[in-house]
Amino acid sequence: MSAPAFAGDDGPRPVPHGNAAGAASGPLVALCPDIGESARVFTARSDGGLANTLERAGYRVYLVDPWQNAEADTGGFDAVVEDIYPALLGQLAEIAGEAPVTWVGHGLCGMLPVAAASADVPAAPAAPRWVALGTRLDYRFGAPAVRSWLASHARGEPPPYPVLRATLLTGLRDAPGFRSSTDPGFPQGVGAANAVRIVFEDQLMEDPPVAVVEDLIRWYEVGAPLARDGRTHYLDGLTACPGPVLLVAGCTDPIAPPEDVLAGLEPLANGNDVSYRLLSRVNRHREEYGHLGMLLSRHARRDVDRLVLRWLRGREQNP
Amino acid sequence: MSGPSRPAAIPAAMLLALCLVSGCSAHRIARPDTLPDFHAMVATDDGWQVATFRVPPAPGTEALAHHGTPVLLAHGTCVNRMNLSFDGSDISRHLSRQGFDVWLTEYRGDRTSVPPDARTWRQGDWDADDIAGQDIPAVLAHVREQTGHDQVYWLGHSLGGILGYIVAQGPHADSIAGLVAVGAPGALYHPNDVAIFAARHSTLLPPATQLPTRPLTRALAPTLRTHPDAYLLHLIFNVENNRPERLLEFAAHGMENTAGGLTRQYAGWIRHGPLTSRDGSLDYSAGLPDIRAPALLIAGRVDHIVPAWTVRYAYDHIGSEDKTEVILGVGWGTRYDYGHGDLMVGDRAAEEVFPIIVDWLATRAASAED
Repeated sequence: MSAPAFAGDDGPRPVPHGNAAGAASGPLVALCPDIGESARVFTARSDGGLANTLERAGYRVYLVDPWQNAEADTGGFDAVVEDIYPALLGQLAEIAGEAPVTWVGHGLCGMLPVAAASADVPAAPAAPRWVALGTRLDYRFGAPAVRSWLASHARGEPPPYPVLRATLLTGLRDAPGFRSSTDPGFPQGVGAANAVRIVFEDQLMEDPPVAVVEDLIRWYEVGAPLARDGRTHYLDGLTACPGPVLLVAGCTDPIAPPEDVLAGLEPLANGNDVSYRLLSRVNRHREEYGHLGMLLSRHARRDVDRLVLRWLRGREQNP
Repeated sequence: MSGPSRPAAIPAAMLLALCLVSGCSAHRIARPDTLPDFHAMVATDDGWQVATFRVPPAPGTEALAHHGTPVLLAHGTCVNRMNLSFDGSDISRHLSRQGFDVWLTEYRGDRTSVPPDARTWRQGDWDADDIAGQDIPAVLAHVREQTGHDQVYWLGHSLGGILGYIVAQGPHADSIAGLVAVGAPGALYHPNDVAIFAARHSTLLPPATQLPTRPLTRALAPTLRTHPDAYLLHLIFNVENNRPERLLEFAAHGMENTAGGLTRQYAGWIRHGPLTSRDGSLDYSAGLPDIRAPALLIAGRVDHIVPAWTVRYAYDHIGSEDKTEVILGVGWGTRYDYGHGDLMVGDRAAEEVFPIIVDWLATRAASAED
């Protein structure tokens, strides 16, 4: 699967995973990566990743990528929220027919339903359900490593390993035996973080859209995710955001630390079906999850995929 | 969310059994005055005596603008002053070498304290309200009298930080020049599974007891060598930041029993969220906006006793105009993520944590001198 498959002549489009295109019905799940990632981040584990877990459970899985296109590259987050995300949701709704659509976003992609619900954004088809994996909902406190990561990309340079390590690769364990985070299909004997780095850099890393990177730098500077006109505060959408939501935070994730995920919980919970779960050993998970670990760790199937699946099934039973 | 089954239940059962069988009371230290840095016993209004220790400014620091500024160090739950003066990561001497006049206090129930009577000691029925309302005012008055300073800087870890919040919003707030709270929650919302389990089962505790955290830790200490990254130990510290031999030494000398009253108070905080007095009449979390002293709040990224969001709660609600939040984790520039115990006694605390505190204190103290 190559990157251009996520965009056609008329813009980004959902790409079916597995036999999703051939399935006649059933609930549909769209998996959307963070900036700087390929959508293959959901399929790269040797067990097929979250995409495979959901597909095997009977979901029609589509991969989407709202970032790798010229519009995002020049128009930034505003363009993604106002044009690309609504278009993708519209296509997904058409494919789904009567079946519900769930938007699963990693990192910044998990914020799109909130941003689209903010008052000043033209009406977009609402995702009936959404899952935010490692999505920051408070921009007052940017971890230094994350700001370095953004600064590297703003200069057009790939982030050096120490920055990558401190940003995307936290929480991965080098423990022996079953406790190790290293996926059996990843390089062995190089350390868990290094193994993920090798796979990520070789297969999964994408250049994030420069304009979105600039937006994020600005958001951290002012402490709020504001549209370029300064009038729209994208987190205002929290109180208006529709649908059941599952927020998932990685304990050591500096991109979306638990405290900056929890910041969105109270406004979201205003009459909504909102769930929150911390990925941490203290909650009987196998590691202190970081940003990529929640998708690429050997333990992610046990700790993360099943959490998402359980939540989805709960919504099917209690729509 | 349901509580953990085997990993936590076995030690919990052991704790309960040990508690019921032993009566749990710790043996007091007969001669606290023989301990290093001992300064004086201080009497409280309700008949206790608590120990104070002093580490004066090191020679050669007289030229520093903040020289002689008093800093009172307040330790956490289950531990004693070694929490803040442990060889190799000794914040008291670190501050002394930077010219500060460092004071440490132990609380009622620590083995250096003297109770009004033996029955009170056995019952273990004191809590944070008693420490903040009785012990701390007496110690603050003593430090002010001894130093001639009207105000002191407060540095508290865990419970010590909570006590700082309580004092800095109460009748003695004027005595606090600034507040450094390390791993100290402003409220305990969103508890993890283990905390929920512990709070739920705290009702099993006998009504009058000291929780035998000191003997239990010493009994389980060999586990530190064989399984330093075990589940329950991981709750307290990140093994990457602690050599097992140092933890063994700390377990041998730094632990204290925990009052049943304080334990029940914690359980209530976990169940309900806000930090309240045990009778519920005072809400210390709601009082955070009354804190006006400059505040530095430090959180560990993998602190499972006081998670970073509970520190964020304090940051968001403290009324001080000058307030700073620092998170210690890989993404924030430290070599490893910090757990609760690591913040003060971890292998790299002197290198990665103490300079943050010293810089903050020195800046505030020097500007106060100006």
